[in-house]
Amino acid sequence: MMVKKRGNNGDLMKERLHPFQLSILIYTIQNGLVLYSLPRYTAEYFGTNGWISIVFIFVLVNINILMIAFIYKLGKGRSIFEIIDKTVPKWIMVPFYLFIICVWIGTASMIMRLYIFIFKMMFFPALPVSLFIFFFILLSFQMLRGGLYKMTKAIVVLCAIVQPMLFLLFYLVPEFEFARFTTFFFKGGTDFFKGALHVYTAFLGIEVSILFFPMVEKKWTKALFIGNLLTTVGYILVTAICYGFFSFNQILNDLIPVMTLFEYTEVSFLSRAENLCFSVFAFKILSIIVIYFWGAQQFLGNMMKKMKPNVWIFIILACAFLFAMLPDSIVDVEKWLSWLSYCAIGIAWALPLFVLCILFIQILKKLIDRETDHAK
Amino acid sequence: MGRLRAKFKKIFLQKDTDFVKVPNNQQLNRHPQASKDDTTIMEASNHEKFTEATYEKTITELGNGFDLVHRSFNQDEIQIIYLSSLVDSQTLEWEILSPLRETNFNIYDKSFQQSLYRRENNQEKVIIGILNGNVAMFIGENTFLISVSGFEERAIAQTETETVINGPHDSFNEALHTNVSLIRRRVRSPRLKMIKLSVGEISKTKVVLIYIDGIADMDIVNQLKARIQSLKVDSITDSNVLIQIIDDHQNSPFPQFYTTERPDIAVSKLYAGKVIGLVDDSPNIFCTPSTFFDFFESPDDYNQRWIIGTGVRILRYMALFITLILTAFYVSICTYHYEMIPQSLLQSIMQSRSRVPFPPIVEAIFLEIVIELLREAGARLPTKIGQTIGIVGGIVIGQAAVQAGITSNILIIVVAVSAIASFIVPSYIMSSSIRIIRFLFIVMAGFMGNIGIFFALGILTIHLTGLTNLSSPYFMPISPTFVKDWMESIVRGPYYKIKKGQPAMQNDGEKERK
Repeated sequence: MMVKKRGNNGDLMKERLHPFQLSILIYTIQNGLVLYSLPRYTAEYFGTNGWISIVFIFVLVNINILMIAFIYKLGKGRSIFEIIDKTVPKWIMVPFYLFIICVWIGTASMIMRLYIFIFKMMFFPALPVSLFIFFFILLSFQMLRGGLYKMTKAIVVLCAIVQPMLFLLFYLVPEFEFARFTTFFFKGGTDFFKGALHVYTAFLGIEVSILFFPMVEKKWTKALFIGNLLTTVGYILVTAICYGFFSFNQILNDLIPVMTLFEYTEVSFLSRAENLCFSVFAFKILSIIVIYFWGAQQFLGNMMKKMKPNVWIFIILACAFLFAMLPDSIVDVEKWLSWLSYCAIGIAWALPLFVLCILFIQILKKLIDRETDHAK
Repeated sequence: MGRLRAKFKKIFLQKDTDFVKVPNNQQLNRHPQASKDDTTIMEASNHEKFTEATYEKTITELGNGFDLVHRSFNQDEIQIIYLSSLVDSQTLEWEILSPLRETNFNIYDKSFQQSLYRRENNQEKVIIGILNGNVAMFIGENTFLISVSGFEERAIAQTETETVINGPHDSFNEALHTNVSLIRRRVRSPRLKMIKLSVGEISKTKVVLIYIDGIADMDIVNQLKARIQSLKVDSITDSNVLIQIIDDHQNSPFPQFYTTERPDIAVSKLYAGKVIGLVDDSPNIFCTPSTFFDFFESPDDYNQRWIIGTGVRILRYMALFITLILTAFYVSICTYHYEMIPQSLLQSIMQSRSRVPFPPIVEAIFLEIVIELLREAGARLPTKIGQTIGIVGGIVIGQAAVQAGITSNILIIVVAVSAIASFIVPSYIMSSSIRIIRFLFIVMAGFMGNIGIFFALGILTIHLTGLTNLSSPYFMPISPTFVKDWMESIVRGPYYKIKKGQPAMQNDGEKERK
């Protein structure tokens, strides 16, 4: 193991990510803000016992991850930029890359803005929004400066700080009643397709893992599945307890059911724990937006190789700041966020499919070449 | 304008400071011609470079110092020069002066075969020898250096900053010789290897790197050696100065090399596979590679039963948490989040805060500054006055401040608890860093309440996980995560869990690469 010689700056990631770190990374970067409204979405769109829909969406997400793992295996660990650049000339891909970059930066900014809105609404009616945005951007800058490896190390520790939140749920068990689940499945829901899309946005974030290829050890794909499984378990736990705690109509009428859930937890030396929970959730939001920024940075870096990677960080963060200042109310943000999330879901499916097609074309070409060589 | 841009780039775009680039041929060769392959040219140029050592030249170079002694014997045939403040007068008398006065000078060839006598012809080296406590003897054409150094040194005493209740009480002192002997007698193995280096153009301070062959990682030894050899400074006064100069991250408030004054800690680090460095004139030794959790260990943990040792360690981490967050939490609750105070406590807090004219952040910062003033003054006061001022400051001022209505009762308790908690950290340098970071938390809490505290915690975490010590991650074994190492560093596992010959740094794949 060569210890590197100093003075070798730049983005050369010779460090490999370990599967354990990766699974925690995936768990943390999957969109968590939807968690706070997830019971309401499932109740609205799916009806009674809507939390079971999470399991179905989990299966869909797994198919998506399978595609990514397949690409890794077929492409033998090459980065997707290499694969695409071999077949498709760059100038064709540039508008698509720009689209992906805009969608990802937009999603990250909107998630940040929504979080800040909820926070302001509940706890700080008077503080200026730009202060919050500034601190989020500052923390993202500090994380992006170090590259993916340092980011992962920081995210592992931040996740460890966020996790104890789940233990507060045990305080609710005395009030939990199975009867509130009702014996009907999926009755009273409205739109299954839209609901499925909304619940799918709870699992977004995993599509950025397609860019991890040059930086991971072999046999890392199981980390994706483990991370996704952890997320699903967490979601199901919280949603199920929510369904057992509130009645069906109560969930429909509450904007952020999970917050109300935490309001009821009472610890002897602390009254309103939901304040702390939501504040510590900022770390999860930070991880989500940072990974989207990092993904956008990778795309930008691939498009224009001559600029230094650090310059991109400034540009991306400046765009995010401006973008996050745009919306004025929660309705605006939610509208933007839903549109951007639909685009992101589209990207999550289209990009792996596209790369798979190219890989097939390349393999076919190689086979044909070998045949013709044989013939010669 | 160009300078401003360069500064901006340096702060924001560089990940850490550029270290002095180590040249590829890193011999301590002062002669530039020596890099050529031709050895005859090298010898010839060596001859040209150094001058023959003579008595006259030495006297002129050293001048007429207060402690410079020059004697001559046998009608000016034999001349000796030495610095009386550096030689041991008894050895001098016994070994040199008496024989010179008495013996027949024709048989002095045999006495020069002794190991104390060393023939030296290079003028520069003769001067260095005299400055190291040798006696220079000029006989005819030849010059000899005789080693009779005897420096005055402080006796081995108990350390004042790292006390242990149950364990050895000796500590290092300023003489390199004594420190090396304290280590040698604890590691009686031929595998203990030492590398001698010299730092500082004028001070020529000796630095010794010690490691156990077979356990330590040679990469680290070589990297440390290369870094120290590439230093270009006039002098270093203490080992703390040296480690700050060779740090990876010089702008971080946290110490990256672990330092200690105790030989038992030094030797346990050696057995764990680390490299320790001793600096002449400094009782502190540094060891590398170190992690954040090394600073929270104390020999007391290991000398007690493992359950108690684990309990005390957990107490220390809780104390770290308390000292960072408690005052900030008080500020944020009293300013923004009144609803979080339990109802039973509400009345007393209301009563104490109602008399205070300032917002909570102002009184918190005021009290924290008073505590810092007390602490710093207590460190500088002469011992005779120290006790009185401690009582006056601590009790009287606190009580008077509350009665005058400047601060509230609860805040005094909070600040006092957090100050006490900050002293639980065994390493003084780390606890100073933590005390300064506390102010950041208080300020952020004052501006943004609870989320401010978490933002500050986020900044701190991201900073800590990004630090490295000689390319080894600072926050190991939490991140990167090695659960097997948690037995050693986070909690104190029982001795039957630690196998023989298991080095602490068994994680080969985790060298930092950028």
